[in-house]
Amino acid sequence: MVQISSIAITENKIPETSFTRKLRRADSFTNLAVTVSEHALSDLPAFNNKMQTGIFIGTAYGPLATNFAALDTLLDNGEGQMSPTLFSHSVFNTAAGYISRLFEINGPAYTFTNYSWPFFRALEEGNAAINRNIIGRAIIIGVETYSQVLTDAGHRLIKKNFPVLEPGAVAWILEGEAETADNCICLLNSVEFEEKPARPEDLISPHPLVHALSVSRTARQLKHSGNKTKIWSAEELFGKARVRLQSP
Amino acid sequence: MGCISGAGEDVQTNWANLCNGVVRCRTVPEWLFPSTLPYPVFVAPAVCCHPEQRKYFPHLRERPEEQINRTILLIINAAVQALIQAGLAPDNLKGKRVGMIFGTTVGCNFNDENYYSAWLRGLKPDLEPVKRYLTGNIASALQTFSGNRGPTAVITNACASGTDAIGLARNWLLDNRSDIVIAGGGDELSRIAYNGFSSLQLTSRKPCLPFDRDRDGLNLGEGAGVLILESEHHCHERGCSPLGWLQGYGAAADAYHPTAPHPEGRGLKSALDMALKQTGKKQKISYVNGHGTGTPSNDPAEMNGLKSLFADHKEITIVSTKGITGHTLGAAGAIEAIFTLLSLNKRFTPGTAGCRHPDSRLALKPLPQGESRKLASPLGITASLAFGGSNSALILEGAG
Repeated sequence: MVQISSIAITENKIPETSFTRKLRRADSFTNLAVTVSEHALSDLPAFNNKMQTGIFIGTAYGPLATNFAALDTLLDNGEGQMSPTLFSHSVFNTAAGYISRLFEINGPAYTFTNYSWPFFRALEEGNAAINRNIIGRAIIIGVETYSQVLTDAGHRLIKKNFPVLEPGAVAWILEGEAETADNCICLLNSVEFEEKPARPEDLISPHPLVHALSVSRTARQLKHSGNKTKIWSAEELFGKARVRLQSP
Repeated sequence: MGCISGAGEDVQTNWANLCNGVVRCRTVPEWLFPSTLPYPVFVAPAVCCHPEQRKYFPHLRERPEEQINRTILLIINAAVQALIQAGLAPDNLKGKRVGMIFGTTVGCNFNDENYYSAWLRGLKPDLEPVKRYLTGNIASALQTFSGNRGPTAVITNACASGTDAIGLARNWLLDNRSDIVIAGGGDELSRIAYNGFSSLQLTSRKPCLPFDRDRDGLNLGEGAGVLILESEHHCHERGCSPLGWLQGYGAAADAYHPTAPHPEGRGLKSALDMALKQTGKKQKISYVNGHGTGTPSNDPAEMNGLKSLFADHKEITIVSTKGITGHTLGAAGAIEAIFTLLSLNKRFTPGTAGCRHPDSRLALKPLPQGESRKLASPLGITASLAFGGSNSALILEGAG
């Protein structure tokens, strides 16, 4: 069974990082993904087999604000004058590229994009990759930065009770049994989720990081709760998800 | 398998144009988006929902076609071709766990400039583009339109997305997460990506010249490629013969540069290593469909990565097919997997369109334009390199 060795949560602001200089061109999406990974990895012993570490990012909107910033340079400056830096950072897997480079990780790196359960898609694939012995350690990341364009559209679509879209990120470090050490927060027994057809207004609320944050807190609490197992579940208009966690 | 690209509206036409070296590179047509830039592109045929597609995706009727983005229409077109060839009628999918996994880059972005421009001016534009964006996740949309159940995923690994989608589909089957997987990739041409690639100085003013000494950049293209994957047991149970087997899949990161590949093809070598270990048949590889974009940096990096594994391998033939499709981004890996399987099944490959003078500085020699070769075995590779340093490779075996 796969163990959760570390969990880091970042809400609202980008935390301190040792990569300040190397992130100077990066946008907030990449900054959040890198810094939350750094914090999740900071309490763990070094993992020397860089091919044996995989990166699995789940996001609903990706670097949406950067996409618009790149578009601004096209609209303002005209054809052929788009900012190459902004354009390259608007590509969804840029954050995965930064993480692999800054942490010298050579294993597989994926970015999954989905409006309903993005973190859980990344979690399932990371869990599966360890169970299939493709890798021994997985960095699972949920990250969102949103955009004012999306916020305004959300308010107009939903009219009332539209949630505040705060940037944030979650990172879990999963490890296989061969790698397990003293760092076990809990064991990841299973990840299940399903999507069902939904209207646009149902997909935009609640915001996609809500469930990633919630399951992260549940996993953290399990260690100290005295319970042997805990099933975290959520049901929304776009489907349902369930994660079974087990005490070490 | 199903395919649509600038080289044609189906697999047969794509293959025929590949064999005949037909290059349909052109200026950007006004109906796609206005442009005065001098970089030609490969444009896929216009797509619309026809009755056959509505049989497989009956809920398409509930959404006006203009509310569906072009990437999804391209994928649906390719998916229906593939399902028909696989002998899977819509009823055959009922009650099955039908996985849907696709790669894309442009297809996941909000690209509606009119909406955005109006919003910038403080207006409240019609929300239709936002609704199209929020219902535009390819895999979720196809699942909604089909009414099938099963896992869905969209991979946004830039230009390796299509290859990764097919590779992860294999894992879904091996892990018994799906009975059948509809896998591939798709991307439409967009003004933003077109301008982005040209601002990065990666696009050529001429039809691209992969592996050629005079290469100076890529041509963007659009299209979709879809494969139907199922376990051998499932395939035999329904009395069908496979077109081939997906024998291995590997993915690895360069950990080197945001947009440029590692010069020695480090990540590609690792991805190939991982995939080849699953087959144990490295010596039997006869064909490589390379990423071969025609950019100054991609081609040597790719050849260096291949050489590190195949330096003494005399029987291997390396080609790029981007000279007839352009670089279709998230679709590229899937379209090239289809070309790979076609070549392996026919035990034949045409040379690389655009490669008239193979670059002698490349670590391995590609098969140039105007030449063709019989393949020594039905085992081959398709490989993709991407922004962000993603690399992935599939090992395919043709059924012959």
